[in-house]
Amino acid sequence: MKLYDECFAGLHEILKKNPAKKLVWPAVKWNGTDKNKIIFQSDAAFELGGANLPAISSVAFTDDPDLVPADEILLIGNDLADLNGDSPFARIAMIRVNEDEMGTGERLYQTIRRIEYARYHIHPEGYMMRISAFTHREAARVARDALAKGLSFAHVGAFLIEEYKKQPQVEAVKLLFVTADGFPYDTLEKVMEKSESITTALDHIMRDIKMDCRTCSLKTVCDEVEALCGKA
Amino acid sequence: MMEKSNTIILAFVGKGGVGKTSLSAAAVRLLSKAYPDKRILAIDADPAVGLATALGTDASLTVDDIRKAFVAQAKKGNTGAAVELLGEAKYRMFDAVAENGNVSFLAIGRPEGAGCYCKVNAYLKEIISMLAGNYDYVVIDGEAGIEHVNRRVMEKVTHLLLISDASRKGLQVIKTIHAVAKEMVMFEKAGVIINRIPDMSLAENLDAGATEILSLIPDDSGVAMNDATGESIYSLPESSPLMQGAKEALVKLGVIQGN
Repeated sequence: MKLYDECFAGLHEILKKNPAKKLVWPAVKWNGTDKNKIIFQSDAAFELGGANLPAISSVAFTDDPDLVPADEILLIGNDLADLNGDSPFARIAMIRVNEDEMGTGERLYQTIRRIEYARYHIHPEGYMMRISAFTHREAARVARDALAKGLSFAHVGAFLIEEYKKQPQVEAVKLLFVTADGFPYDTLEKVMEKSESITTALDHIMRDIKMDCRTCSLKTVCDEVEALCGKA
Repeated sequence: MMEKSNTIILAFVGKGGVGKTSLSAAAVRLLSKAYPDKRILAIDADPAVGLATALGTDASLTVDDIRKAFVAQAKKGNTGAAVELLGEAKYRMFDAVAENGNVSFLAIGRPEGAGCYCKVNAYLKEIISMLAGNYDYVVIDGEAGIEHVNRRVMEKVTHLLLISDASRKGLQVIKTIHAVAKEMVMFEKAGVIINRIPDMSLAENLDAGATEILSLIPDDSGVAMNDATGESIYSLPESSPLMQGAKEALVKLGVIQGN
């Protein structure tokens, strides 16, 4: 699973310059809520990635235990209780998988997407995710009453990791949350754009779309993916 | 699918120009006052798009804008998985909902052009239903027929309010709408409001068919003045014929209490 190594290298560089703190795993699981329950603006304390602030979300996969040794939740910036208003936001999931279980071809692509879709299936009480696959934005409204009850990124992270690990291929998840004002969100976005391009290219290759590769915007990524898959 | 909710959904339908928008706005105002702790969603599903002005609110993004964005993405070959499309519809729908106190507003926009967008409509309707389930009351300012509301907004409403003026054509239209709605089992209760009656001596001869007449409202010059000046429903006196007629109708339907 070397496909995403460049993303991990980029992430490593960013984390070296912007150290993250490791959050303590919550002792008690936060309550979930109905998937259709919404948080009204009037009930929200703030929105992570609201008001056109950065709202980045991405996933990178590896089979290397050195890159993702165990489940952990990292944070750069303030935790939910310390935010005073809408904040820039990033959430990156670094996922260690069992490569033998991932499959190849269309199955590999479908497995990757299935793992990514975990974010659509978690509904922590007082934390409403708003996800745009078209614009690659992931914002979240946080309810005032949930903050009063002590909701934190550790609770949300535990929810997400549990959901990712429902897929049998997932062995460990390192989850990074970012809310810091001075953080290089642009750089992170560029690094993680590569991840989405790789996944898209996998689908592109597997579907064997007949087109003129010389003019396709995905050509460079396809070449890399094919080389890494041993097809070139 | 949505679980069954207790949301009361009122749809105002009838031919154009009979006062559906003013009556929908009046219903929102009455509900907001009667139930200050409840949440009300006003949906403008009339292509004339006048409910925003009538409520003194603004709709910068409509459901139709979202639909167009979906279609544009599909044309680029980016169709997405169902879970992504539902997430996308939800993401954008929250930007289209304008919250003001206990009243929220959502504009559907103009009907789509040529082409079949059944799949897109299905996703958008699913999200509108999800949204609606979070409110205690939903008021829909509809197009002429209930089938339009059904296609673009909601599968089913709880209360169907058939609005007509005193014209024979207006009354014929609501009989047809009622017959279609009954056949498609789209409501629990229905009633007729006859609005803009130029002379109340006509009232006893108005034939609305078998449906209960909830209120008869004389032509209200205050509403015409409001329309001309772009004032909202909130500037109309509570004692105005329109407000009184709307209240009488909602009381008869059991949606609000009398007095």
